[in-house]
Amino acid sequence: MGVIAPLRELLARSSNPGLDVSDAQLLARIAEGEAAAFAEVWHRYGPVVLGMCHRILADHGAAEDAAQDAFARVWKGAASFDPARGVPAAWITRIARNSALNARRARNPEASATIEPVEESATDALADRFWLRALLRRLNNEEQIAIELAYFHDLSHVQIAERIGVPLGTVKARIRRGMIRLAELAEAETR
Amino acid sequence: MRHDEAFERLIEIVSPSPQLAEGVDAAVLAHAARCPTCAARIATLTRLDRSLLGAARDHHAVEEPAPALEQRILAIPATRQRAPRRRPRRIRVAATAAMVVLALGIAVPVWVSSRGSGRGPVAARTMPLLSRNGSLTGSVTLGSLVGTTRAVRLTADGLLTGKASSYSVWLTGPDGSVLIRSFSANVEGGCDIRADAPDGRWDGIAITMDGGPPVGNAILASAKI
Repeated sequence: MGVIAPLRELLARSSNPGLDVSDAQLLARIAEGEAAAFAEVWHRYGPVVLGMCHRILADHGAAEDAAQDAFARVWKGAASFDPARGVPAAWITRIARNSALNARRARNPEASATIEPVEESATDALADRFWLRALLRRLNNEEQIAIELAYFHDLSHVQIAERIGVPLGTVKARIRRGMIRLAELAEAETR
Repeated sequence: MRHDEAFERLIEIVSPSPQLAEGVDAAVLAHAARCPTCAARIATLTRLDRSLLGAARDHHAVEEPAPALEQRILAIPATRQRAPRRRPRRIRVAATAAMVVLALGIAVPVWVSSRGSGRGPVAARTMPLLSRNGSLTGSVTLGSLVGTTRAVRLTADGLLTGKASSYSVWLTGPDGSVLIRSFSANVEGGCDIRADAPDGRWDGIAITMDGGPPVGNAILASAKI
């Protein structure tokens, strides 16, 4: 058994931050050295950070290294996060993007001159998607799957019901509950 | 229509997308038009709906991490130091002054005594490892605090050999416990490992097997620190 299982047990046993804790609260708890809060941020943002690193680096191994570097920066620098300067998703987005770009420069220094500047609006849109992805991961599996099939796979409610083998009413209820839960989480994040 | 009834049904009036528009009740609309709480919720739901539609374009950009990467990431808190939180200037000045006084208070007597005895100051403490069933012997050496961590060295004998036998070293204290190192014994059933222990209210070190948490009979051996 590796390190993950004991850490998971540790998270379950100790003060697990849980799904209702906002991103900003998690960063504050990481700044105090709480490993469980760090694991929750990883759970929420890991897949989007890895996805972005992969897109920038076009190499799976390098993307994993960049994602690890990004999360090491989150762990080390959480105390420097200033809520007055933006939301946690934007902060994590910047860190992840910088880690990936640094890795790309290290792999190919000549290409660094060709790295296109990113407009503020594009960064905002990216951060918005990071934030949304992190919110989705705080839903229960059933609600998350129903919403992702509806929006990302463009399936109708009837098609979703057939795909996952549940009655149409159940699909509608899951999407409805999921959207309401997303709204509650979003409002708590921006409070 | 009551507020709570309308609030529950706002989802029906938010989205122009066919996924959510399932028929809008006029009474819900009428309530929402004059209720600021409902207006705020409608704004949130609208933002979410648009973000979901926008994210649909790049949903392949999300990648589930491999277990090996997760293991590397979750090990970060146990292996890396955090930048210390920056304190207000007045506290920093006071803390610096206190540290100077403390350093002088320690350094001068140590310097004086070392001149007399010819020995330097002791930077580490070694505690015996107390085994639950007596089969495991060893000791734990705890270094002095450097920054936010202190070095830990564990030497032990009487461990099970082979990579299938995994041991975990935990720091324990009143606030919980934290894993600082996993290891396997060498071919002779011994170990000599080092780890960094984060600063905290720790009062013990515990050894468990196969990743078990440091509670009850899962603790094979421990040392008080």
